[in-house]
This record gives sequence, C-alpha cells and structure tokens, in this order.
Amino acid sequence: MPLLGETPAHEVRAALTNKGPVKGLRLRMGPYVARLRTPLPEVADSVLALYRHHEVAGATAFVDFDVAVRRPRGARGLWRPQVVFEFEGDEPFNPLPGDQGFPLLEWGLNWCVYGLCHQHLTLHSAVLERHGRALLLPAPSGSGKSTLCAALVFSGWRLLSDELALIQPRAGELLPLPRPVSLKNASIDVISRFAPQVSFGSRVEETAKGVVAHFAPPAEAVRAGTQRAAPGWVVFPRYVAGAPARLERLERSRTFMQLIENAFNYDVFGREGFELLGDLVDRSKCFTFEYGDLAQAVALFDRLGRGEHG
Amino acid sequence: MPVYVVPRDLIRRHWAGEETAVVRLPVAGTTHLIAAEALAVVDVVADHAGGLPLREIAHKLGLVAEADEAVAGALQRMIDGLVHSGLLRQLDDDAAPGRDACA
Repeated sequence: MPLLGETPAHEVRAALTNKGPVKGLRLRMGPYVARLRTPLPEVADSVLALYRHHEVAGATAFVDFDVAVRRPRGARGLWRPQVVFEFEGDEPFNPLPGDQGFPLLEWGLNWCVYGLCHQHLTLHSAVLERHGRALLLPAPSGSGKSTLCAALVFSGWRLLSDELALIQPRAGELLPLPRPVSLKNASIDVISRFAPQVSFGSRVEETAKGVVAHFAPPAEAVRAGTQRAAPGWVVFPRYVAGAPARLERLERSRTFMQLIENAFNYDVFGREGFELLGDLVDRSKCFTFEYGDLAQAVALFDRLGRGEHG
Repeated sequence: MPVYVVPRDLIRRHWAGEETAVVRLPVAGTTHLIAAEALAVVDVVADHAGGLPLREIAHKLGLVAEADEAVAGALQRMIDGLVHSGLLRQLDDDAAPGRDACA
C-alpha cells in the first residue's frame, strides 16, 4: 500500500474533491478505513501534512466511514463561511466557523469510532506502548492528558492513540489507532518547547475548545498500526500547577469504576464489558498521577516503563 | 422474618486486599462499587439458593448478631442498602424460601 506522503499531491487533491478517477481518499487508520472527501483546499493541505505516514487503501477497500467536510448547502454561511461534517450523507453536527474544517474532520472521525463502532470496547483515553505493554491515560478534557501523551510520544513511547482506547474483546489487548495528535491552548507552546522538532499543522483559533493545533503521529507509530499491546498500566493523570510528579496506587475496583466513567460503549457489551474491564485492570498496575512539570513527569514514566514502580 | 436472595447472574469481582469490590446487576446492567464487607454478605447469600434470613447471614459471617444489637443493626443497615441497590432481594415472610430465589 502506498503512503499518503508518497502519493502525488495532485492525485490526493483530485481524490478528495471527487474530480479524479478515484472518488474520495481511502485512508487506513488502525483497524478502520475512512473515505474522506473535501472541496476545501485548507482541509486538503492538513490531510496531506498530518496523515502523510498513513497508508492509502485501494479503490476497492471496504470503507468503514464515508465522511466529508464541506461548506453548507444553500445560502447558509454566505456572509460568514462555515463548514459541516457529513457522514454518509447526514450532517450529525451543527456547522462550525469556516476555518475549523480540519478540527471538525478529526472530531467527526472520533465520533465515528466511539459512536458507531462497537466491535471494540472504547474508552476516552490516550494509549501509549513500551516493551509491548500499553499505558492508558484516561481523563476528561483539561486534565493534561493530551500534553502528557504528546510529551511521551517524543520520549520513546509508541503512540496508539491520543484520544481513544480500543479494547479487543476476548484477548483484551489494545488496538492502535494512530492519528494526528490534537493539542489545545497553552499545551501547544508547552510541547513546542519540550520537543522543538514537532511540526504543527495550522493553528485554529476560537474553537469551542480554544486554540487547537495538530501534529502528525510519528511514522513508526503509524507503521506499527497493527501491533496490539497487552494492558500494562492504567494511570489517571491530573495537571496541577507547581505540583511535584507523584504516582499513587489506586485500588483496581476504583480503577474499574473510573474506567466505566470514561467508556463510550460499556453498556453495549453487557456482561462481556464487565469481564473485559475486569481483566484489563487485573493485568494492569493502576495509579492516579499528579504533575506540574512535564520533564519530571516523563522521567517518572520512564521509570514506570522500566518496571520500577512495583 | 424476611429471607434474602441474590439476583440470578449477578457477577462480582474483588481483588485480594482491596477495601472495595465491583458488582454487576444482570437485568439493569448497572455496575456498583461496594465495600468488601458488603461483598462478604452477598457472597454468603449467593451460596444459598433458597436465601438466608438475617440471623443466618450473621452466623455465617461469624457475627453474633442476636447477642449484640449494634452488630445486628449495622448488618441490617448494610443489607437494607444492598436491597435498595438491587444487589439483594428481600422475600417476605409468607414467601416460601426459594420460591422467588435467584429470579
């Protein structure tokens, strides 16, 4: 399969705009294939830059999500440009301001995974891997999860996902879903200082989440897009300004309940969901984690990855 | 004297040494965090398909409830909480033991 970054840009743009021989751009994202379409050049630019390491699936590949980002139809948005996300002909969300096309595409793709795909138990969690063991960082927005995840990506941990943990039924392993990593507000500058080699796409101002910018997942993380990881650690992070990095053991039963709070489809799985989460925490070391300094946090996770925390 | 039974297919998980456990109710599909002591009550009752009265539960837990009103009261409150959350079912005096058990 060719990588997007090796495919001539004019062919990609033609596919995205439905003007070429191939209608839509079929991109492989972990276990899924998404067909993307957009007539918006700025969204196409972001796709080209931020999915450059991803495989382009063949024209006959089965498509899990058929999505588009485009201007609204009709007179809507004539005075103030807007963008809409389209999923198989439906528009599940309200339009957003015109410069938010790429973030909208990413949010829409997240929605496709957590809202529609129930072959995996899905948690709101970043997932990284070291030595074959998965580190889950489940947390709500504003907890510092994405910042920590991004810092770990630049510190030797393999990215499986910055947003969604996919747990495979029966085996209980974590499936990779490497996609562009989203950062918000102050985190963008924090990571720019932490990892000067990072290359962000466009900064989008005034989204519902503030300023948003994405960086491409590392090529090796995308290449390893089929390598699952066994559960290793579940850590609930919380950024506290000025706090020293501190891990504290969390009872597995309490970890279990907090994972349910971060699960999108636990109820769908019924009894199997209970067993699956039970096995996940059984195989994991479970902690809460407070940090105020990213370098300290990364050093502590380095020790954790080497097995130095019980 | 009421008899208590555990709903059929109630599943539970307790990790050694932990103060709490998780329990899932089959029909409602709800998951509960309960104290290890409450789990001990559920475990004792679950071992008796026909159900157990308070006195028997206390006996099997090694508590002398009849001799100590405080112990009996605490156990009754714990059982009431389990009944309230659906993790135990209370059968009335006139219900034949086992008639509705594990339903």
